[in-house]
Amino acid sequence: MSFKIGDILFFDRYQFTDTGETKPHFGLVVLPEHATKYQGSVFCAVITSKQPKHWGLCLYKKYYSCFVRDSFACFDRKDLVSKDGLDLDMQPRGTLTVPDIKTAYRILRKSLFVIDDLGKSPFLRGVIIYEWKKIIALPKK
Amino acid sequence: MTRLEQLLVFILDRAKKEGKSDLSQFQLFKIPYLLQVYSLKYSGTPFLADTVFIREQNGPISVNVYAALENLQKSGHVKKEVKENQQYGYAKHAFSLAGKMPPVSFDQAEIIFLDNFLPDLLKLTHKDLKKEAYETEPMKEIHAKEKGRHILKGVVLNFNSVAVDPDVVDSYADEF
Repeated sequence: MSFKIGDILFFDRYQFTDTGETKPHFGLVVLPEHATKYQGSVFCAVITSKQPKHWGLCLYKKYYSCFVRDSFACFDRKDLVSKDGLDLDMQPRGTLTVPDIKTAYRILRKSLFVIDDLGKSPFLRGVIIYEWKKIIALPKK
Repeated sequence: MTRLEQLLVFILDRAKKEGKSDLSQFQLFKIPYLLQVYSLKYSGTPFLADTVFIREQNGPISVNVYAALENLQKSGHVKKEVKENQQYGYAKHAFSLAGKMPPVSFDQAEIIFLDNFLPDLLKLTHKDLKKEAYETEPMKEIHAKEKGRHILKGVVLNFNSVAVDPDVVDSYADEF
């Protein structure tokens, strides 16, 4: 299947771009899969149970049954994660609710300039903004 | 290879992967033009720094693209076949990769940018590609100057007219 923005995937081997470290982790899909399909990867923000200082979105377990405790999508840790690391069981394990998609976009957009990762490239930033705007209609400021 | 030549072989490679054995010259003019517009609109920077597009009868064309395709044929990376094409009533200049895609120097973010937009662009018919190109600001600007009279053939299209997406502008503001 093809993953879309807001899908929650479980990787039994989630490799962090910055350290190369591999751990089992949930990841939140930040770009639709077609953008990275020729690289065999999915662009994700890691999801952890530990609240980050900044750029985190709380995913309450009452809304997301795939989590055993409240978790956080960390937009300060975005990675191009190999699909080889995906757990073989059903994917995605969940999908962001519409209100959370809107909140996520606000946090993500702000993080793009501040966090020094792949998302800081103007080209990737442009694609992220283009794709997220396609799936939401933010209320006028 | 120049950046433009690399872009053209990249487009031909992705076309092949998406099931298209070749692309017409028309497609190879319009697709880089549209990528340039999307780049300015959503990234705030041109993908191709020194490629000029001019107004022609059927929308934007580029002498730079034409020359790049010539160079790529001379270097053996790209081949051209002239095919009969009843759909459009004139022969199709069909370009394809002569072998494997030569190495390109795009970084990972640039590749994701291209891979994000190319599948949709490659699906468009000539008519829809033309329509998409005509809906861009540089084409609208020149259309307005033409005022429905003669076509301003050969006039350089003004990429400064491309408005950066408001959310991209806001994200720049978020930095400060």
